[in-house]
Amino acid sequence: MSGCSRREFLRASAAAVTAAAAGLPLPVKLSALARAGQEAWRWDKGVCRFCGTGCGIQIATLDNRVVGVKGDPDSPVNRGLLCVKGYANAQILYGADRLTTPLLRMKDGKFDKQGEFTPVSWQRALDEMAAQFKRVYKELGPTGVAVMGSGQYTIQEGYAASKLVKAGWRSNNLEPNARHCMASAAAGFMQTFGIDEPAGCYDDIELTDTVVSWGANMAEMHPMLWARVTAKRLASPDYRIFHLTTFTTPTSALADVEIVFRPQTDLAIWNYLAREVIARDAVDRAFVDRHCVFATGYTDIGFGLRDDDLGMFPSEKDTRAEQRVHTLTREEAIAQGRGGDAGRAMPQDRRAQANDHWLITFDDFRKAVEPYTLDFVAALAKGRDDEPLEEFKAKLVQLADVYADRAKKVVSFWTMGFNQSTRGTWVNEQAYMVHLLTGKYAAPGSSAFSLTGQPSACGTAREVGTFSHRLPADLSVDNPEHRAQAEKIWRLPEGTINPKVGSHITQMMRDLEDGRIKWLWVQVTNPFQSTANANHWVEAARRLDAFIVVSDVYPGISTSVADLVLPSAMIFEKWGGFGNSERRTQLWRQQVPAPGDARSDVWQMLEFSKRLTLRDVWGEQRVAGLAAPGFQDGRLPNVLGKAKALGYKPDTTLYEVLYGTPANRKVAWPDPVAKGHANDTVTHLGEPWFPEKALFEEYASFGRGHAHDLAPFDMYLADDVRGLRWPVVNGRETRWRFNEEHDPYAKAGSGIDFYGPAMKSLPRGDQHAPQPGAPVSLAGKAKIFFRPYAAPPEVPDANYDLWLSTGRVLEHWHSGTMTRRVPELHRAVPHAQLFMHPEDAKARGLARHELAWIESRRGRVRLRVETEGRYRMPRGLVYVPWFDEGVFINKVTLDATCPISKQTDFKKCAVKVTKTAAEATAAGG
Amino acid sequence: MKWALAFVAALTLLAAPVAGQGPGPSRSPDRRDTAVASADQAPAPEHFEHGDKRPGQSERLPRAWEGAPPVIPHSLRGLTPITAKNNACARCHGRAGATSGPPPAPPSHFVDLREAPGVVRPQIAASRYNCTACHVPQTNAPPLRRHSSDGSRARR
Amino acid sequence: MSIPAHVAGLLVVVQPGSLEETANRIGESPGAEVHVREPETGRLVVTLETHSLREQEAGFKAIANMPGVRSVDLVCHYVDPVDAGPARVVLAPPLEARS
Repeated sequence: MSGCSRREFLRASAAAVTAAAAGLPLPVKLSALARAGQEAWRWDKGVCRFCGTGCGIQIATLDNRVVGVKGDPDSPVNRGLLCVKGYANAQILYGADRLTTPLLRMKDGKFDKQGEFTPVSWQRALDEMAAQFKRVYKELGPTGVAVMGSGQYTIQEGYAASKLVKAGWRSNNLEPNARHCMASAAAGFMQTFGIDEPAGCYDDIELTDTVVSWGANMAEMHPMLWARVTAKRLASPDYRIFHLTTFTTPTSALADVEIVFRPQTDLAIWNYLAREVIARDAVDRAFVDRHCVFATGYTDIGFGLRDDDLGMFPSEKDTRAEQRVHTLTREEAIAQGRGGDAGRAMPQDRRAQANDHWLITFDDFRKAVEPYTLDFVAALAKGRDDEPLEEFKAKLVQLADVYADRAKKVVSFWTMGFNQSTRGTWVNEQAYMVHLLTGKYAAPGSSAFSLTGQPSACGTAREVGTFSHRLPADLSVDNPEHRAQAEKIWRLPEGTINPKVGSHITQMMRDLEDGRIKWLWVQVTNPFQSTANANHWVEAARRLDAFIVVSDVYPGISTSVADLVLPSAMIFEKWGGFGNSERRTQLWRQQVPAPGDARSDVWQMLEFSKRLTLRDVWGEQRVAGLAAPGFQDGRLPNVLGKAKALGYKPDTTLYEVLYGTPANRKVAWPDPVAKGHANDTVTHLGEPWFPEKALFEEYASFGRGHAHDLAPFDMYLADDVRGLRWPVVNGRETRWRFNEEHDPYAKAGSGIDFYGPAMKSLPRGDQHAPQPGAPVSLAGKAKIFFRPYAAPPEVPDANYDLWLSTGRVLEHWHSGTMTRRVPELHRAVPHAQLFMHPEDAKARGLARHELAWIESRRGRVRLRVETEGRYRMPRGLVYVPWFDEGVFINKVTLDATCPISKQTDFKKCAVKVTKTAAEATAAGG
Repeated sequence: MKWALAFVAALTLLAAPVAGQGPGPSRSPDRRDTAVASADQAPAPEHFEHGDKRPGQSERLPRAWEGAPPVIPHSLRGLTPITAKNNACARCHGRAGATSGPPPAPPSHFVDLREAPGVVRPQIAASRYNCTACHVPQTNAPPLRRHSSDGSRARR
Repeated sequence: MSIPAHVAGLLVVVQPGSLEETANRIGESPGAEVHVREPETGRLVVTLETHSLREQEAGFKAIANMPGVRSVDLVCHYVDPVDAGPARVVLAPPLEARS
């Protein structure tokens, strides 16, 4: 467009926009002119960058820039709607301080950890990375290096990382930030069903009659799913919504019944419901007898804290001691059937056996839930001081009514309130417990639905298996058959893959602190802001002999503690795909180039892999604690000899073995599926094969035929496809798994077939322990777990007298690096605030909007009090969102985790809130 | 080297003066001080008002880009939360095709693509009931970082 | 060095009965063009094209101060660098905040 006609277009556009805003008609000539400009816009389908809802979007680009976004009217997920962050997809790429060049800390022309960030070429950056990698790998072996990845990795990025770390480096130190997000949900699925991810799908929203949100603030965190729930609620008077929560949220505003409960008492409420179902004879006997067994596990499993005192601040001593010995509270004693043991110190002897579980009888189960009477649970769980106990009880009874009513279908939703808990796996299992007891599962409108937080915690982290214990498609590193399968698909010599589970993400930080990990690559996450008890880790990052690489798009806390920063391409600047909460895999094309020298994470891994040869990694390696059949204790074997039989030589690069394989090179670029869109991974790689497609197809081969079937790559990019819910068999997606009518993997005649294979052989036992004897096969069955109420390791006391819960707000995503750079989102919520009850504030001499300190045993930060606004806190509980690096709330939070899932409890720790002194305010400036 | 300086400047926007906290040599100036005690010196978050303009008193704010949902230029005090029985937004903005008074929601808002595509109803579609999922009010907070839609160009 | 163009879309409301006269006066203002007139409600769709933000403000104030003009609303504002690249949409802060 020439400058002259472009100016005319702008003028016509401005007039058109103004007229439209005022509802005025525009003269035909002008509107035609305005439209002509938009005709140059290219639209293509994509997925939202943000939450686990996975809204379909249409992206408009012009002149290599994203100019607009709209909700995809054809997406079954959101049907043309988007929330405010969804619309921000058009803007997140364009903050002024996008990282566009590799930056290495240097002094006098050499890498120096004390040096200043200096722009360097990609070659220089990757060379330094490789040199440091080899130094550390030689010193510490596969356990000394680590990758912190993400539930926001694309599927291809996660797969490339999995291969690099597990097949290349023979390390299992690959962990996603999804460990902080969905690990308890995944563990709950695996333990209950033997296979990950929900049976149902979003269709259940319109097909059910009751929605129960357990701690999930869906109005802000899954807004477009909430829009669907709202639509049904307004259309049908019989459609009811329950919202259980520790404080009033915007979700409460549309609920028929809001139940405010004390932190962690969700464990007790579920057992009350189970007891009611049994007492009212509402157990679906046929379903339970045919499809379920009963199980339980140990209770003295600790809280995922450090077992030692390394690095401990003196103030942390009493909390850390809980890890080894926990004093049973009065309520726990009742709840766990240990009547006389209240106040007793219970050694946490089964910390290493947290996952163990065994079969119990229905009678055992019934006795175990017996203590959870309405009186006991209501007194324990009531969250608002000023709510009359009888009112609270009446609400619990209403809740029991819907679960126990055979005529009601019920969908239960949850996310972080359950998952981010020291008993997160237990409470996930309890949700299935009640749905299985009542037969309300794996059928249209009947669902216990674990909502996913991140856009691809399902599609990448869980399905690709970017975890310290996983291989793709639900396989595990510690299972010899699974390793053999992976070694076959990946063309690796037998014995390449390391059977010893690696460090989970919180453990990686502890390893960094202790000097056990000295080389770390961070990708698509901001872990130094997102990991609890952050004071430890930001110090650890500055260890003189640790080398930290951060691949990111904007500066943040993690880039500020890094030694090397690599500028990365954002969504739509690269080909990719995500998998959302309902198992819907959605792929997109590259739409625009990345700025400056920013490159895709796939390119970064492929290019880095060229600098390592098999000789560097496939010789004998030390792995402390490795003890597996077929392996020498503490050692991975030299596989270079066996590698010869596969045609490899010691100086063959990892690139040739993992990525640029003959099979992958056959997936050619250009490819008609691109429809003229570019692929800068290919441009920068300089070879004519299509990494994002080849890696996708290679990854899909793990799951096809194993109930994880993905469709062919091209199908996802077809014009009329808006993602597909796996398993996709013969081109058809599966909406309800395990249900014979809907799932091709469910055996004919079974009705419901819980075919998940993992952990389906269990010993028998009683409420307390397993018994010797041959294990029983549970093929086709799911487990109804008894899990007791248990108290958190750190509760409010005289010194730290408030509960702290943390989370998000609608307008911001995670650590805010993207959303805080979008002007509308930043202006909407500029800073994280301390939400507290007005009486709690007054009692501490604090006025609304005044500055306060929030402090725990681990650290403190300063922020402003908010006693009104969108949340209504009960007395004794405060809430702080974590998007604001200027209010670094993770300095205050506790790194306790669920001992089974290793997921951090971000929802509970003890804090005190005090006025700031005048001098501190002045110094802050 | 101006890129390094620009990057340094960006990093130090929220940085505290080096506290020299803990063991080991002092840190280089561009590193944000993330030591335990740095919270004591970190700048205190400012307070920003949403403003107290009542509906009808405020000027419309420009859109981020053509087709972006408009932001709310007036205070929401007393108008939220939106409940099943009460939607204050729709009372003013839910009059389809209005040519004076509060700007009406556009025609797209009166169609539900899931339940009845192609049918334009007289009320805002139930799936669009939660207005504040897409439309947010604004404070007077200055931008943290420049954005190319502020009139400055992204570094290329 | 490129000379950017600022193109703003304004919604102007005028006194009933003075629409033609006021619209013509606006049209004579440098950079201003009237595209739509609605006599029933006294509304005009106006674009204002200037070389700088300062000139934008001056033009805006000039229109606002004209006799017969009741209000001027800024609806959108594009910045078009002449040399290259697509136009950027500018978020104009409320008038009082502009310095």
